[in-house]
Amino acid sequence: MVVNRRISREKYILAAIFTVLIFSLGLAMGIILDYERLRWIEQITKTYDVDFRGLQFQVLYLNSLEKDNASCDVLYATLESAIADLGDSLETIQEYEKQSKGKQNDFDIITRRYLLDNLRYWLLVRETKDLCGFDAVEILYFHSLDDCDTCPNQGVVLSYFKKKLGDKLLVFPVNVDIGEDEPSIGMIKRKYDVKKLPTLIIEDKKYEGVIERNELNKVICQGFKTKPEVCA
Amino acid sequence: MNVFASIILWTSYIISLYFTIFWLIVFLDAKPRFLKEEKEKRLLNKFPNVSVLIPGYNEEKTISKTIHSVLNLDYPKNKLQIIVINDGIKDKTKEVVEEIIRKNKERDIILINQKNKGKAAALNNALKITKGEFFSCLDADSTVDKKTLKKMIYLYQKEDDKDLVIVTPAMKVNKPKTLIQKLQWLEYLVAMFVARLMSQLDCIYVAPGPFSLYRAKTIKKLGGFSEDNLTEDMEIAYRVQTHDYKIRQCFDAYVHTVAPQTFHQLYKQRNRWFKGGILNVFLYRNMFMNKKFGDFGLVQMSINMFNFFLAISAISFFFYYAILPILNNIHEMWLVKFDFLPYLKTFFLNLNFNILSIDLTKTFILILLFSVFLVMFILSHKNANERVKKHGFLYMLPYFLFYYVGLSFIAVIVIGELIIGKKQKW
Repeated sequence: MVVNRRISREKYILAAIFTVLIFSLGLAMGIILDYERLRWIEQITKTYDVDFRGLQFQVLYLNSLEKDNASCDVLYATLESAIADLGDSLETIQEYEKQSKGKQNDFDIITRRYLLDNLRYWLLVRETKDLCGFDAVEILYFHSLDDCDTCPNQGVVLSYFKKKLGDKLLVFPVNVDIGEDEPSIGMIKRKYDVKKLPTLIIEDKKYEGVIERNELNKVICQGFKTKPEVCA
Repeated sequence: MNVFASIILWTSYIISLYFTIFWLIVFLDAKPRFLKEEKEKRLLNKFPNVSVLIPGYNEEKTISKTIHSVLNLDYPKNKLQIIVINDGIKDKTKEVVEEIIRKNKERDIILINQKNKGKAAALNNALKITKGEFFSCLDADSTVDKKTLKKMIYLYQKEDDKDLVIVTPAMKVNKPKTLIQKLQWLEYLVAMFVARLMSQLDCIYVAPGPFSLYRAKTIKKLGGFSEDNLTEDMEIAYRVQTHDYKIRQCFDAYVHTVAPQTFHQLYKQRNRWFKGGILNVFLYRNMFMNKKFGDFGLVQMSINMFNFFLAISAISFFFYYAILPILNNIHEMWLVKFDFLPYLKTFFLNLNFNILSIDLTKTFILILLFSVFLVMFILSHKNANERVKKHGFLYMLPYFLFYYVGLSFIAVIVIGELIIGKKQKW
């Protein structure tokens, strides 16, 4: 008896059903966790908000009541930890930006908020630096994820220095992609006349295009009163 | 990641998942039959004549072992014929075989000498003088278990169908020593299990060189082995399928084969297999999606074609997730003039945050896909009556991570070679 050729139609269909089920399960689990992750990031930004209000109060207090700057130490400590947290979440958010580019509205709002946090801290640092005599260098980093091929390179070099100098270097990234939604970016861009990307504003001076490691080292070192090890 | 690679990857995810689940369903369906099969007392009513063909080329070291494993088979001595084909052998194989013949005068052993014309020609030559109702081939690098022949003959007796023309064995890698051999050990176990499932749907498309048992009359009628095919053991199975004859696997008819020891040897073997695979799929393309051939045309032919697509996909997968990140890291290190000390300091801190940078959806689907494969993997061990950790766990990591990527590389090279039209003999 020759082979009785069968077509196992019910097996094909069953396999298809299970494939779709397993696939959707993976998809659903991924989406749920993605949502959790978003909430987690939101939580972080909320914490920053509270931290920032605390800082703002301290500055206000310094400006209006204390004239001998005795509270500068406290302010510096708080600022330090706040900015360290901000630096950590920078990488997080950048990584996250890479994959969910323009996908989620929620995420756009979070990045906007993060950006504003950054700008607020930047202002605060400039304000208190003279008041309390902090020895730190602050960098405003204009970049874009969509139309700037060399920005990742600058990002790598910047995070390298951030890792090296720790809280002595304060990097405030400004993602200009959000520009249309957030008028404050336009304001700052106009002030420094930012036309090219990437652009760095280091201690109020503008540097256009990618700055290599050695050059950036020199520029950063100029900003310190007591030179750290790296500058020797 | 570019859209093209993305599409390839997702397609292969889904199709691999589909086929794996399909075989699992076949397994669940066949399980009661399998259990019955495994408990059967296999008693033979009669012992038909069997000829064992041993083609050999420069295999003096292993041929003695091979012949002795056949001589030691649990089968009536007067029903078993051994034909050794000396395929232009330049070493002492001839002397070794003649010595064995002298020592076993009561046994039916024949030595044929022929000019080096390849394995298929050697088998065809021997086929002319076989007197058995059944014949099998045993490569000179393989040995066969004592009970194997009886088990296979029993399958013929049980089916009692003159249109059952090939019974295939269950191949195991003989005493794997090197890493490459251990990886093949795992590969063979899985392949063996899948072959058992394929057997349920009349989907077997290769009759492994070592000790497949053929019905002599039918194979002769079909014209013997194809002498210009790279993988004649695959071609004969395809040919048998086009003529609607039956092929069955005997799940515990163990044959032990010496697997390639080094990557170079493995490369040479697989280059030939894959090339033969593609050429035979092409040769028998009319069966693809042909309802006349049932599951063989719809499922098996699709899988055989999909495998090469999967190979290409595996390579792009490997490129995007392994090579590209490495290149990226090197580039980043170059940007900071290879001063990586600051990174080491904060490495453990970063691990925490890298979790956030993972694409969770893709990861979850991958995990599920892997779990389904893992089920298949464990069932394969059960099927072969082997413990999962027989050779330790360590080599499973390269098996799951790199082995199939490596094979895919070979497959992609083969596709390339076929496109530029490189000729090759086995």
